[in-house]
Amino acid sequence: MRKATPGADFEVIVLGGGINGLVCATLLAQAKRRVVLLEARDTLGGFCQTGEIAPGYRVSTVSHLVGPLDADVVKSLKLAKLGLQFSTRQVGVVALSADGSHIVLGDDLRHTAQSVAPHSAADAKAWAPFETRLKRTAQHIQPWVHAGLPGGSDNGGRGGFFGGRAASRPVAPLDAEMATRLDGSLSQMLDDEFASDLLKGAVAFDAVIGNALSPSMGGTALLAVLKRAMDVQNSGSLSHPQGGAGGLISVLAKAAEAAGVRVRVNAKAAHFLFDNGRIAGVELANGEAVYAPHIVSSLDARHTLLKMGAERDLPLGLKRRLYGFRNQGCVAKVNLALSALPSFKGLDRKFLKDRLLICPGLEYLEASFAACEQGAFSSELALEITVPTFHDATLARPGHHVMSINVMYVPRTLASGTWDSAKGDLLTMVASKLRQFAPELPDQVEAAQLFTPEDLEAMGGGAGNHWHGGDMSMDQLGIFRPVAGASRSVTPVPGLYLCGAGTHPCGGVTGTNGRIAADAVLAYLGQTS
Amino acid sequence: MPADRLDAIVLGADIEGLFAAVAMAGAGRHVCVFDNALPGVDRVGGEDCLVSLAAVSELDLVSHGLRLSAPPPIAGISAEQTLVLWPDMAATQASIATISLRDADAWESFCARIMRGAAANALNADASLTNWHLAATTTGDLASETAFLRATTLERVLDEEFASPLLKGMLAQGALLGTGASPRAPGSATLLMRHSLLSLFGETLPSRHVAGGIQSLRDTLLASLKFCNTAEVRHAKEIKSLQFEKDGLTGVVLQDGTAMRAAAVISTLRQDRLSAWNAAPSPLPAAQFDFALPGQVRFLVRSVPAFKGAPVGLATSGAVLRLNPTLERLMKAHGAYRARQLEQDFCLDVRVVPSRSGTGPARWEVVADVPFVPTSTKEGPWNGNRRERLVAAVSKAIEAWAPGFEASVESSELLEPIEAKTIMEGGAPATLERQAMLDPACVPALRPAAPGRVTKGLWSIEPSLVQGAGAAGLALAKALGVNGRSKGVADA
Repeated sequence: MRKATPGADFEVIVLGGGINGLVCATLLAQAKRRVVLLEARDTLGGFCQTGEIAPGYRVSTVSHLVGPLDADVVKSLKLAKLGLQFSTRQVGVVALSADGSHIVLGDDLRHTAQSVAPHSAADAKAWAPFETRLKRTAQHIQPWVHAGLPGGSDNGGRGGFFGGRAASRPVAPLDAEMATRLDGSLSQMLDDEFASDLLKGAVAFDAVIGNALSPSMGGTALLAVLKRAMDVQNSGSLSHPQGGAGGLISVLAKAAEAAGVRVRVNAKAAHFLFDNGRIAGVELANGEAVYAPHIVSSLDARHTLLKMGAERDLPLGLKRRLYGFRNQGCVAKVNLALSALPSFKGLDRKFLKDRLLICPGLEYLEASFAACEQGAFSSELALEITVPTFHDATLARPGHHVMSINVMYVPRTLASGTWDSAKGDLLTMVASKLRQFAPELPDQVEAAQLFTPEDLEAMGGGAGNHWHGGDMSMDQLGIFRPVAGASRSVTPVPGLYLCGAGTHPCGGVTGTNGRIAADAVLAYLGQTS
Repeated sequence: MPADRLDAIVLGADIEGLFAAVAMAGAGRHVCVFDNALPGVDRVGGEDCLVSLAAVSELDLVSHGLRLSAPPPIAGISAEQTLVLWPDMAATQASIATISLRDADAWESFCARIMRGAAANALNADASLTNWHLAATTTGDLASETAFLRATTLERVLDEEFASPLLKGMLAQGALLGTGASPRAPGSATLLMRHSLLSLFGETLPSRHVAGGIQSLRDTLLASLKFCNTAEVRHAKEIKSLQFEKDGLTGVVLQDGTAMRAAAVISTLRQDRLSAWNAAPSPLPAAQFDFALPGQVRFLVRSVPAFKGAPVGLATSGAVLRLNPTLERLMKAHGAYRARQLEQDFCLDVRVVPSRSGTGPARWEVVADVPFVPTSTKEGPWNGNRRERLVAAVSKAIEAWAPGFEASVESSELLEPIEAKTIMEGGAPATLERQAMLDPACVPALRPAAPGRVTKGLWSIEPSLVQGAGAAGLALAKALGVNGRSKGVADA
């Protein structure tokens, strides 16, 4: 192993140019630290990219909605001033029904109740109290989600002074009834509250989406609250940036540049360099060495800690636990170029700005998960559909449209055959599913693009293929995220930090992980310099 | 019966119901047991039955002829390897050492870890993980280790501890059997702490195996009831209907028209049976639990099959033979179960036991437990052709590990998984440990047995995965005021 030379060029190296890497690097640079950001691919953004489906049709390649963006990040990075624009700020949810009586889940509780009423009068009445209770709980746990984990003494005794910027004290316990609810499964919670399959299916799908968890698994009820806690903090809901996910990234890149971050693309970090057991820099795939005493990695924690030369400094127990971290993605992405604005049976045009969910019930979701568990995909696919061109004219020629669809549950590896031969089948299945709700849609398709979890893994490189960086189950949340002993952004390797989606609080395009990590690094630098 | 109002009526002479009856009758209470003689509930527990030591001593069952036995060894057989887990740490380590020295080394600390977890769980079973997370400030201590064990998956814990796929598969199959949970379901790691596995991990146990299995335990309880002159056993067929007054259940009406009133009615019956008796519109609660009994196939055979790799004599010593268990196969079987398909690649627990019929040349029975058999397939319920296919597939699966087995089979019997509804309250799945919930991902909670009052006058028995048979029945008797001294029965 090469020895690092003294007098490093930078104070901090940030690995990975996705949203969390960019946010973390920018915040560090704003604090007058010399920062270099290394991105392996030739473009920044990670899963936040805008690409072409076909000439004239652009779409967010993978992540298609933002959010909601961390309010502190928007403010500190002055993103609005740098030109961040959203083509829509309030993306609601519509649960599509094959017979046209769709359920609209938005901020307007009365409106939702009205759309639920045809399915079940009792559910219509139960909706507002249910949603209000979840929101109140979300408000309660919001400091835990937002401010970083309360202090403690793991991480080899160095964790004590890494508080978030807000005073992070343990949150008061929830009342016993709510706590028991959240320990349990979404199915149980929803079955107790509601009768309508469509309503239950939509709420469940919306909560578990991206996780390889079925709604009947223990602890999934908490996901519904976590999701709302992000909304509460950032006072909004999912939104669509102008120009797609790539639009957001170009603004973040500007912010990084303005703060003085040195951004390098095509710079794949191969392994770490050490000096007396301390991080001293990285060696790139091309053999070049970049020196800095601190490294913040937005890559997958397992990749960072076990595949880049840091593993010899780790306790055996931590290594073994890290191997068990579940971060296998189960979402495929389908992008369609359309010759016309799609029309769904019985759906008012104005709802095309929202997320349209196809998930008729809990049973349906379970069947889909069961197939995935066996290494296959079934015709019971749950779809999350957006039509970004409905509000963003920059993405396609006038009159033409693009549709962006997340498909769940799709296995990373097929039990029989390979993805190369099965891709066509999956596309056909998605098309026939769409036809049930929008009969003309498949005929409007000009071009289609499919990314399987396998493709996403290749695209993500060291970042993995999981939406949230890892399943959000009770053994992978909070102080266990990504692994006990490396939570709070700090690892046992001196000088090495984590800021990816697999850290507390969870994944999604929010920038919160990056902000919390920057706080932790600055706290450490403040202590030592 | 001397009393015009009984203290308790027990519907369905399930093991726990019998325990409650014996406990009450032993304390001088007037009890009538209606034996249900319906198929299903009694057969579960099969060859293996663990009884709560506290219940045995409290009811003095040993003097009524109950014999306890050592836990059976569990043998795992894969294509290349055989591994036997003995209820003795050194012996188990020696066996593991033949396939992996690393795992043999890890065994002792793994056992200690599970025993610690079980002890902590006994105190903390109801503490909320959500609240734990909100308050957690440190890891690496016992509290965080316990929380992790409660939260995580079986697969993750086994992968952390061991390298051998056979060892991991054996432990996983034992933990999952009859629960319907997936080895990848968060919370499934707790199933390693179920009491039926603890004899592999440590010495101090709240329960013991019963020699002769569940049938022998049942016989002892019935014999013990006969000694009590305040107890009576009748047949469930004698019941015509349930009797309600105002909002509560007050007893039953017999076929001859006489009414039997009781302070408490204890039901271990399936909801459909109770509903059938429910003549008038009444406050009988809706089913609260769906449950399924796991599938079991029994083969009457002429000779003891010779299992590849199994030491001679192991099969007839009462050992459980676990055929080629791996986490991958369990995952796949679970997926099929969830999708309600008939999985062809079975994970089997096989035992060779002396035949119960005992006549003719066929002196042995091969009993195969099949984890993850759906209560009905997508094509329909278990009947005709599908039954045959299931039996044939199980038979083929055994033949693959014991050549010549199929040739020696005289007859076979399928005890299919039964879909049923109970009135039991939330928590543990059903009346006995091996019953599974229909909700396939749900991991049954590890809680001590708790009596449940379903509605006024009607009680259910909620059993437990952490205590042996009897604990639940005794807990119910206690809830009804029997603690050996007090006289009055608390009016339900």
